[in-house]
Amino acid sequence: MTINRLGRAMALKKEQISNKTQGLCKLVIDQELTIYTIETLKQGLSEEIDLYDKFELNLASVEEIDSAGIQLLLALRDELVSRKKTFILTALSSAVTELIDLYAVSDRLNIGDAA
Amino acid sequence: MSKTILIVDDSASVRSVVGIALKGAGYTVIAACDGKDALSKLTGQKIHLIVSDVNMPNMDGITFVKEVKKLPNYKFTPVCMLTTEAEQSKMQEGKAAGAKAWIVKPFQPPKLLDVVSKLIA
Amino acid sequence: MSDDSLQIFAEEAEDLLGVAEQALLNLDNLGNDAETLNGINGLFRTFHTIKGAAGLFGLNTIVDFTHVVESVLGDVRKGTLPVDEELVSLFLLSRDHLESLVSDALGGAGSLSGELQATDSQLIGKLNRYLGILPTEEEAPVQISGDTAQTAKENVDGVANENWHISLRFGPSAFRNGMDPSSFVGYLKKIGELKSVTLIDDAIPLWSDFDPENCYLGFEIELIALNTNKDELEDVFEFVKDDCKISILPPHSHISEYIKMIEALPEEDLRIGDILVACGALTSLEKDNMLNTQDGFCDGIIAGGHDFKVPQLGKIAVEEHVVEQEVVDAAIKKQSNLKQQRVSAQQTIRVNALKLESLVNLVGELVIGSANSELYARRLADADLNEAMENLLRLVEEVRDTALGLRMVQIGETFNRYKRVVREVSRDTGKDIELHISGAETELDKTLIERIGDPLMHLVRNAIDHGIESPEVRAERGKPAKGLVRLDAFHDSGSIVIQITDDGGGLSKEKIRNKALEKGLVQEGQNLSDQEIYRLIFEAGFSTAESVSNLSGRGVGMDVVRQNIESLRGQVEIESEEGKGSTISIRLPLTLAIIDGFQVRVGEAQYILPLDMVDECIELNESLRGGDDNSNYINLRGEILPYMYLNDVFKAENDAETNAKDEVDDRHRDNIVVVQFAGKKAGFVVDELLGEHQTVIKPLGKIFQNLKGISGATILGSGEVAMIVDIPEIVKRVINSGQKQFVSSNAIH
Repeated sequence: MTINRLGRAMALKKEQISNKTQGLCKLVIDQELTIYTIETLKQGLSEEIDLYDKFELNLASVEEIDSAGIQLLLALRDELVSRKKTFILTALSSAVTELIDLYAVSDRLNIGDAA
Repeated sequence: MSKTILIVDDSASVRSVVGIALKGAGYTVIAACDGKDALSKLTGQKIHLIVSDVNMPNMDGITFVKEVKKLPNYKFTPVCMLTTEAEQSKMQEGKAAGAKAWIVKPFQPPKLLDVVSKLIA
Repeated sequence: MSDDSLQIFAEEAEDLLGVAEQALLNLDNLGNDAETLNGINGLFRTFHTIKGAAGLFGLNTIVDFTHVVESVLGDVRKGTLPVDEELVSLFLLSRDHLESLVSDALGGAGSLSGELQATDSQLIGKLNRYLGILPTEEEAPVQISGDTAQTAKENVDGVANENWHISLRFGPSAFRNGMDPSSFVGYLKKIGELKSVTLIDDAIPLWSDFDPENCYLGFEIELIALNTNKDELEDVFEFVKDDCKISILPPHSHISEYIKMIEALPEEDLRIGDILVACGALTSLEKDNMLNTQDGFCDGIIAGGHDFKVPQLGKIAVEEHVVEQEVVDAAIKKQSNLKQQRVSAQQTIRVNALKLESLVNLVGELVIGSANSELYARRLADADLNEAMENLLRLVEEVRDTALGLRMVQIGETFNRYKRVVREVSRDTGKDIELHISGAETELDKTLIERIGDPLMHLVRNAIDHGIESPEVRAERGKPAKGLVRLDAFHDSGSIVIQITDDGGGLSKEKIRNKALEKGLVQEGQNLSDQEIYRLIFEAGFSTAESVSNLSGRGVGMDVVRQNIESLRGQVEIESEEGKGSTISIRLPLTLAIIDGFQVRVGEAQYILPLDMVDECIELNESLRGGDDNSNYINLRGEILPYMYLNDVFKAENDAETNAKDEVDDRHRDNIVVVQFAGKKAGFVVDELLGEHQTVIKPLGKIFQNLKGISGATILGSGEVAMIVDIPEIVKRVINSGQKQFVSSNAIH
């Protein structure tokens, strides 16, 4: 599912490797994880949360991230944990790493390797 | 990747001084001479901060801020107003319109850079 | 940094330091605490602003010095340091030093001169003593022992944390307003080192209720920063104040501060307590103590909504009986008044003096040019043109007045300078002296203000030094112990009058007379009026002071004072009563540039008389002449009016015998212009009255400087030169010659 808005590609893409039977959903967030995109991202994520049990989030191509984005990740994590689902951040762009380090939240966001 | 700042001021010298200062600090600068011009330059590119004068022809700063707030791609962008001391009453109006930061003219470039670094990470 | 910006900084600093000086001098007089607190707050902000500005320019010496002053002011603000005369004097000296540092910085020298460095260290040392910081020779040990000054007190009650603790709770609209916590947190890195940042996400609701555009974030931050203060840290968040609850706790804050902060936070007390321990703000022990001492501390208030209740600081203070409600109200009212004043005061702009100068010159030319046009217009006798010219001339007059008005400065600024002088001289001489100022809004031309400053200063010093007696002598004489010096300024018939009055011992005519005899200025048995005796003190080398003090009594002052005043076309007069006091009056013309003049013709020559000194014009006919043919006075409605032919006024002494009256034949109707100055009237006979004339004063060349009776020249519309008559001078002349008439029949000067 790719959502475009005014020519700027902002995507929550589901990789084809996602496997319904395994319950694994690999997601990629492209370009922007900021207040401008989070509304749509939340909607997209909401749809996926119900369908899968394991989530991998690839943020390697996130060029812009702000505090709203971090907040979204934290909220997502909280939701998934409360519903006993797993959640890993498999790749981070430098922008994402920078903000995570500033806020010292790396221990709250499960940063690990892809399954 | 550097951050982009839009400077809106009808004075060419202000645009010049601000442009030089900001570019020197590593920002990308887009300049406009009034509100209308600024709106025409907002074509979907990412803007991290808008710095705008208050008194301008064609479209003044306060109206410009109100218009920006209607644009889906820019409504959350921080706005800093440049006011003269006599116009400080405009500050309230500006804040109500959505401009939460301000610098009083005349200002020196270091002051501008200081304010910018409080508003953009 | 460009020179221009540095110039702007210097001017801003100068203004601020001027304000600071007045505020400091005011502190001496303030009675109640609310006002003093306000004064201190204002001073704190002033120095803080200077420090910030200096910082932008990298002027580290200024930053460091101001920082220390600020710290002492901070303690005064807190209430841990009382304000006394000693401290105010130290602040005044510090302010002076800061002034020198600013000029020095403007001069561009790389490092401080030895003298400045010495003063700098000395003052910092003295200021530090108030902070409880001992001078470095005595290398205070790291462990605070019970008896070393004020830091001990804080340590005993303060927490161990030597870092700043900053607590932030952002409001829901922060993101929408374009505010991002990361820019503020990142900015803190410029001030110090982020020892720890703890993101508080407790407020994030369940996913279904979660509005991602709202901000639910908070932070608890530990900042390592030795060289900062609360104001600087608060400034970091200046733009997000409305969208964030901020708590800033300095190093070693009292535990009660932490308790206050915790109680205001929405999260559970225990939870916050744990967080504070985890980030290093509190030790476990401190946290436990806190939990034990607080009632209802462990109520376990669950954080949930966006409902942050942080009581206003004023309220907390009052509830804790720290400040009376009335005092708080008074302080708030004063703040808004000050704000009003500041707003109206801000309606001024700085103008380059040279630009103003050239504007006034241009206006002068404009006046002459339009007079020229008017002449031609009159010749054409065209009604429409005349009307247009009238309009034009009226406008030119308005422009003239406005332009000249720009040069007018209130004398209050100058008067305020003397407050400092009075304070210091009082201290030095052991006298108790109060300075009263009235007429501070009286305006005069800026060049006049600049040049009258020093003479005035000298006269004020004289009044304090020689006029006011010591408290013992005053007691003997039945006078109040506090001596009074009054500075007054007001307008009077086209002049501005400045008076210095003291209720001291007054001038002793005998002493003056004796000294004058000594110096050979007068002869034995010479008959002198009181005024003439007093005027003797203006002679060079004259001083009846018993002792020569640092300030005056050297006898080089008064003659220079008189010269200065006369060079401004002013006069000085003295009134005095022995034992009671003296009043010195200085009279100055309102402006040196353009005046309303009254044009007259005498023979071939044209003269201008300053209009504001012209009383009336009358025809001179025989019936008015009082007494015989030779006397030079007329009966003006019962008043005796001495008069002279204007031509005679300017005649050389030898020619005095040839009375202009003898050349009368072609003068059928003489007109007398009656002028008045300083209450004295005189009449001048002229041939023709030519009416009002806007006169641009052109100064005479140097060789004419000593010409008595003429104060300048002007160019008429026709291109002719007209002389501007120095009325005070010639009035003197007329009166003297009139008196001589009565004394002897030979009219020899």
